[in-house]
Formats: sequence, structure tokens, C-alpha cells
Amino acid sequence: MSFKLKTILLILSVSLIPYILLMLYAGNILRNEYRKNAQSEMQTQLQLSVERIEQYLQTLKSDMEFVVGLDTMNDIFSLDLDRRISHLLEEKKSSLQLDGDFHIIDTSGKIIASSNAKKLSQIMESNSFFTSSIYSPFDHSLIGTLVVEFSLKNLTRFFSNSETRHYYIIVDNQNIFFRPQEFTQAVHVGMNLKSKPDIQIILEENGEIFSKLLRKYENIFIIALIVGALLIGIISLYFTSRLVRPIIKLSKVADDITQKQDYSYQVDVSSNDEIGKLSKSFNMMITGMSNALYELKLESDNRIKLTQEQSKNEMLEELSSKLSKYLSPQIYESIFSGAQDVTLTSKRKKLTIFFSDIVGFTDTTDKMESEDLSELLNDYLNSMTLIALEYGATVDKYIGDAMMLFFGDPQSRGVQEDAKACVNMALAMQDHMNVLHNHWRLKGFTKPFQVRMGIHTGYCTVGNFGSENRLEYTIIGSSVNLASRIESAAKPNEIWISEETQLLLNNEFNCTEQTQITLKGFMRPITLFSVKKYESCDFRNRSIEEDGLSLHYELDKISPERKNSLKLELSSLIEKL
Amino acid sequence: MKYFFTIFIILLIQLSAAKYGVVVTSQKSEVEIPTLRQLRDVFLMKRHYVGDTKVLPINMLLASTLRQRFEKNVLKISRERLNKYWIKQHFQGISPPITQASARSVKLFIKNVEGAIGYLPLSLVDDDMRVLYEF
Repeated sequence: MSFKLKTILLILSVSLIPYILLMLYAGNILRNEYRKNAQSEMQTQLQLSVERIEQYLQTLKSDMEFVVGLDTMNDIFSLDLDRRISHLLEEKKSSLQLDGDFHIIDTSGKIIASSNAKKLSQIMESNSFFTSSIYSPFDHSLIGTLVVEFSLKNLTRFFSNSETRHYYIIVDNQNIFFRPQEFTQAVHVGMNLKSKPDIQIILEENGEIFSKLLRKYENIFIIALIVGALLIGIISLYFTSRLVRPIIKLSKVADDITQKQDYSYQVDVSSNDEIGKLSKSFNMMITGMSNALYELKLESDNRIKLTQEQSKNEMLEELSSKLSKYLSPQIYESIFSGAQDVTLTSKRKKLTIFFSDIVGFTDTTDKMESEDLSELLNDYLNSMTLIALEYGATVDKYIGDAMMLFFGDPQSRGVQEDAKACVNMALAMQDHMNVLHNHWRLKGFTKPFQVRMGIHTGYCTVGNFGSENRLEYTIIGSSVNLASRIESAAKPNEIWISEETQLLLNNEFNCTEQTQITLKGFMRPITLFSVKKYESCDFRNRSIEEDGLSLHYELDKISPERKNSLKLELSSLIEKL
Repeated sequence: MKYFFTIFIILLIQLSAAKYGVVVTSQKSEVEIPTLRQLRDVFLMKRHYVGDTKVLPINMLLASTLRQRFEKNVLKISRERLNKYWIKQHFQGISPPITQASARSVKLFIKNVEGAIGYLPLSLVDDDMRVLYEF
């Protein structure tokens, strides 16, 4: 059921039903009132008629009382021989226009005087209407009675009968007189005479006329009821439509918005009532929602773009992370930070170049399975690379078992510091080789690698070399070749450096001159130095790897129990030594 | 002519001088014979008893010649004075005697009512009547 229909039904139920009930109640009251009024009017008319009858009877009675008081009544004693009483009675009958007769009866009941001479000397038998006793004026004894033989017809002269209304008389509640006709439907009122309570005067009206009149009024009333109900219905419909129209508009707009998702709709309501306010609020809400949705869409688009960019970035990051493994971290960072263009550019710079390789690697490869060789090589290169990165070296390339590193580009702490860092790195690599030897030994590789390293400091050309499609960041120059030659000249497990490098170390390292070599393209022989760490007295950490001797310990990492057992073992070793 | 006229006058005098009316009561009545004065008082309603018997006077109509004769010979009061008398008595609550229209009705009345006294022409008196006074 729609809201409009509900509202109409509600308004009709609160207006039409009470109206109909009220009208029916009022109609019932009016009908009763009309009936009561009609009966009251009849009662009034009857009352007037009865009063006139009562007046007439009272006159009759008074006249009789007057007559019996007259001296003429003394003629009773002379049996009204002179007919004086009879004349009196005749006159009285005439004056009263009486339908009936007056009689004087003596104490024996014999009529001695009468307005009707034929009745003289008869014995009065029938009940008289009124009687008045006659007393002797001289001894006050009863000498006779004046009676009136009264016809009820006398009363009909006071009846004003018509076709629809008539009077009749009921005597002793059973005998009906002078009833002209009997109506099928009758309304009647009755009243007893005060002077003759056994006589009841009835006024009767034709009920059909009454009903017809009542029906006429009822028809008018029903028409008024229907017209009123129609008016209420029309007014209800009109006001309901006016009341509901904005709500329906509101609902339609809400439906349209829901179905079409078009927030440009607005409710057109001009009223200033609550519905108008609601509509304005609704419009404001729609506008707000539209704006919010627009902003949300923008935000969503931005987020999608951002997400796409993020995923692209992540992909790029992942890709670059993968690519970075093929590049030196410094190069990678400088490229990705934008510090270095990915173009065919190069520059001259003084760098410290480091070369290392495994002595007799080719012989070793022939003796080992390729899987084991790969594991060993990867362990070695991985560890060395980590150390190199730790010290800030730029990994140029891996050439089989050889590593080519340099310090001073793209980041440089100065030529001297770069050279020191390179030597420190080489020493650390040398130290770490002991760790690797232990590790490999535990894995069952009994023939350890021996590494030799060469370092030289000199001017190089550093930059991107290759083609537009394939670039390589590297260094070229004679210093590179010299560093390679130095490494080739170095003894296993030793670090050889050129004099240029040695001069930059400021005697901070234990450098020992080894030999002079002459290289192709170099005018003079080059002096080479081996580098070792200054031996320190700190025995907390020691690592020795020699033929027949492999020693590595870190006291801080050994547990007290193990220390005790080591003491016993070393005591026994000392004794044997 | 003069002779006849004289004879008529003489007869008229004779007639007027003759006893024509009588005051009577019922034979059964115990009314004593009243004196003239008593009779006058009874008909002037000054007296209601004659001796020990209550009496009821009966008059005839005013127009009656017998009544005129009664008033002249018994009451001995002119009509004018009598009228004044009854007017005066009326204010004292005393009414004139009952009247009857005819001598026959007076006679019947007297017969029927004990103590009734009335006057009649002498010719109507019968055995049921007792004459109390002649006038």
C-alpha cells in the first residue's frame, strides 16, 4: 500500500468516520426530536381541546349548581305543576346547546321536571353524567336531584378533525366513540378529563403522513450526509495530494538517484514547512553526496594511479633490485639517485684498483666436481664481495675466479683514504680466507684456495663504455693493466701493491719491498711491496693458516667450559712441541 | 243604562266586600290558628313558629290578585312599603317567603310540606285543608 493511499485512508478514517458517526447520531437525535416535537404538538393541541372541554363541563356543572340553588326548585314540592323548573331547564339546555336533557328527580327517582317533557314522570334509570343535589331551603333536607343526561357528542364540537388527524373518545378504557377511521400506522396521544376521569380524549394522526414526512427529512439528511462525506473526501484528497506530493517527489528523486546513480537530481519543493525543510536538507545531502562522490572518485583515481605507480615502482624496484646484483652498489645508487647519467660519458680520475685471483684455479677445477666448484666459488666471491662493499669498493667485474675492484668512483673519500681503504679491504679479505678455509675444511674440501691480490693507484678513465644499447660502467687505462700485472706477480696468499699506492699509506701498514718489475708500455721498472698487518699483541682473536698449521679462534666467543678443556689440550700440545 | 250601571257597581262592591281568600294549612298540620298579627309576622318572616309548630309561609306570584288582596287585607301594607321592607330584610339575610305560581301548586305544596301555610281562593279549599284565616 502506497504512502499516499495510507495517508488518504488515515485522513478519511479520522475525518469521515467521525463525521458519519456524528451525523448518524445527530440524525437519530433529530428524528427522535422530530417525533417528540410532533407528539408534543399533538399533545398541545389535545391539551387545548381538553381544556376547552373541561371549561365547557365546568360551565355545565356551575350552571347546574346555580340552578339547584334557585328558589324555583321549591316547585319540587308542588311537582312542578307550574312547569317553572322545566322551563328553566329548557332554557339552560338551549343556552348550553346541550345534546341531552336536564332532569329533576325527586327522592324516589321519578322525574318531576325535565327539559324534555316526554320524560316526565319516568323513573331515571341510566347513569347520569353530572348530578347536583337539591336541598330544601327551610329544613335543608334533600328534596331532589338535578341530573343531566349528557351525550358524548357534546364533546365532539371541540374536536377539529382533518384527513390526517382526528379525535376520538375512550370511556372506561374500552369503549371507543366517534372514531372516524382507523389509520394503518397511527401516532396518538391521549388525555383523561379531570372532571370525568373515566373519559379519555385521544388525538390520533396518520402515521403514514408522519412517516412520509420523516422519510422526506431523512432523505434530505442522507443527501446532506453524502454531500458532506463527498466534500470531506474531496478535501481530504486535495490536502493529502498537497501533503504527499513533496514526499512522492522526494521518493521519486531518491529512486532515480538509486537507479541511475545520478546525483544531479534536485527536489523542487517551495513550501517552508517541515517537508520543505526536509527537501532542502535532502537536496543539500544530495549535493554533499555528489561532491563527496566526486572527491571520492578523484581520490579513487588518484589511489588507482598511485597504486599503479606503486606497483610499477615495486616492479621497477624489484627489477632494479635484481639488476643491482649485476651492478656495483655505488653505481647502482648513483644511477638510481640520478647522480650519474646513463649515457656514454667518461672522465679521468685517480683511482685505486684492486685485482685478486685464486692461484692455480684452473688445476683445481679439473680436480673438483663442477657443483662443488660452483659452491666454493660462490662462497668465495660472495664473502669477498661483502667485504669489498663493506669497505666501499666499487665492484667492476668478476672474471672467472678473479675480481676487479676500484676505489674513488663514483664515491670517493680522497685518493689517500681510498688507497688505505683498499689495502684494509685486502687485509680483511686475507683474514677472511682463513675463516673460509676452516669452513671448507669442515665441508670436506681439503685443498684450500690460495688467493693473491694486487693493488695500484693511478689515473684511469672511468665511465660508461659500450654502445647506446648496452653499457658497462668500468675503468680503462694503463693503471688497470698495471694493477692486473701486480696481482699476477704477487705470491700466493700475499698482497702486493705498487709504489704509488705504498706512498699513499703513510707507513700505516707493514710494507715490504719485494721486487721491481718492468711491464710493457712502462718506461721504468716498477717497485712492488707486499703488505701485511702489523702484528699486534692482542691474542684474543687469531687466525693462522699455513702448511701444517691451521689456527683460528675468537676468545670472546668460546664458552668458559670450552676454555678449560682447550687449556688442557694446549698444555698437552705444548708438551709435544 | 243608568240602572244597569248601578247594579254593576253594587255587585262589584258586594264582590269586593265578600270573603274571597283563605289562609290554609294541611289538615295533618299541627299549626294552631294564628292571630292576625301572628299571621302577618309569619308572612313578613318575622316569626317562624306559631305556638310550638314551625311554619313555612307560601306566597303567590306578585301579579296574583289574590296576593294583592292578601297584602291589603292581611298584611295591610302597600306594595311600595312592602318592597322597601324586603329590600331592607334582604340585607339582613332574610328572604321573602317561597312563591308558587298557581293556587293549585300552593295547595299541592301545602299538602306535601309539613307546616306550610299558604293562601288560596276559597273555592279551592277541600277537606285536606284546614282554614286558618279568611280575608
